[in-house]
Amino acid sequence: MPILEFSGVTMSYGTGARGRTAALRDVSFVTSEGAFVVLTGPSGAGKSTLLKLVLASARPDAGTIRVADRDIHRLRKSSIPYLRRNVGAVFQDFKLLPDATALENVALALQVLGLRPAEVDARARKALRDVELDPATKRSSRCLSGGEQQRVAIARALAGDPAILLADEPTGNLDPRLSREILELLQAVRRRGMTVVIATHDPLVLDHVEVSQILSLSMGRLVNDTAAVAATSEACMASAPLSAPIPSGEPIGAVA
Amino acid sequence: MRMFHSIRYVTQRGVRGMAQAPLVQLLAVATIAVCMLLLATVLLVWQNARSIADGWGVDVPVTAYLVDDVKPDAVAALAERIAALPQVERVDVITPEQALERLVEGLGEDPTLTAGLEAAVLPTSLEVIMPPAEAATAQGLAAALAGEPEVDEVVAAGAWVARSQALLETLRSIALGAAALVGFACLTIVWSTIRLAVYARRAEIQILRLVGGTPSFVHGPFVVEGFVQGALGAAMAVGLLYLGFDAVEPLLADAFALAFAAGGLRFLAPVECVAVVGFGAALGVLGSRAAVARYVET
Repeated sequence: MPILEFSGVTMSYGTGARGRTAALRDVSFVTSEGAFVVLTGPSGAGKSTLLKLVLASARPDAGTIRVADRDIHRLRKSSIPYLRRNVGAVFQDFKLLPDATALENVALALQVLGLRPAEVDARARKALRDVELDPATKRSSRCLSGGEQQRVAIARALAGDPAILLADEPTGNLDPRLSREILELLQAVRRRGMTVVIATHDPLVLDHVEVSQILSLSMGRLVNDTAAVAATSEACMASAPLSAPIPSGEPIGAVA
Repeated sequence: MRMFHSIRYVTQRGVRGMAQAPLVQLLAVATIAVCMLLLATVLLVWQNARSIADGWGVDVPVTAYLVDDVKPDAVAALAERIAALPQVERVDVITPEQALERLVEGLGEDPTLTAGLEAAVLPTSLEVIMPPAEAATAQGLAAALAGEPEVDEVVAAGAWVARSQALLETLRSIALGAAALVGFACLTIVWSTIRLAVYARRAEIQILRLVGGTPSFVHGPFVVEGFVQGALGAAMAVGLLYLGFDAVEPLLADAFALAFAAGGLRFLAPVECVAVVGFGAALGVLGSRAAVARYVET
């Protein structure tokens, strides 16, 4: 079942005399529920813009974007926060409140839901334990290591139990060992049935996770979609098998 | 119930935000205090100017000074006849002794001004008190009284009433203009100050939006901060104004004793003080909302 669907999406930045710069050009793809999607491409290819569109932080110039079968850019402004509660996001710079503890940072994502304080506390603690962090730590997030901060960010993104987890260069600020740990964590998240979309130009990602779909962007265009290729291959296999037809009357064993 | 929890979280974050940046809070409160002090001063001056202008004209619309050798019976009879008129509220008989007493009181504590003055040189007078609505008929009444044999001279305050009303209107326009200018300046300064505080915490706003905070959840803590800053700043302004008034009032009362003869200077009434504090709180809330709106909407 499709969870994320882009159809002819075009998006550009800038106004005025300098003109507009295209960030995405006619991008179309479909991602199934529970997939692990890697969005690759060089810097400036449009990866972050694509994630921003999914979070409704930007609007496309043309095309439609559907999340869980809802056209998100037809949503009223007042509905956008509710979409974001269903799409967790993790960033390269973590985006944590520096003076708040890990628990307080994770609790924030639950407080917006208006849950009881006791429930917020219990769920935030569980989310931290799920990413193998100690919920009792009193250190502010600015005192945590990069890997710990990224775990807190992942815990916060997962605390509200979203349908999709978006991660924009989640290993960009981490050394290879911490990067592997974070990727394994995201892999574990995917195994729980959540759809994970990672934007990265880190080749390590493809080596360490079981990817179900690779979307390659170049200068705003989708130049490769492994899911589309696979789907095309399957369709071709079904309609036109590559093996030659076996002549009638001859035993199968005699063909070779 | 969810609403209740959200309000609780918003308030907690607002208080926590204030505690995290006490210097910024102090700057905002001081700015609001200065602005509200200006506004409250305009209000105080306006109130007292209105009170004085009212006192000058409307208290005693008509005064009849009687001839020197008038008999007390004739004074009483005339006072009774005037008091019976429908447009008259009451008539006060002012004896020469009472007139001298008022004069001494009005001229202040300098004894040289009234040295050697005796009550006998002052005439008996009738002060005709009329309700403000009847003040316009003062000139007609004065003309009628001038024809009485016991009356030497009549002074009608009709012209004074008109002048005081004109003065009052001018003062009202000046006060409104000044209040509008000061109010606009206050709003701009308060908005700029709060915007600085909000700018310093723009990352927090961004995070709250990313995790699905509704606009009211995101700007709520800033509104709480703005409310507290505005109310505190305005309360400080009222306190400072009171201290200033307390220090200046005796000096003004001495220097302008005649002007204030009809009624002394007075500070803002408690309800007006509460209104100033409420206005400051509203200013803080509006400033915060305006400052945070650009980060919440995008």
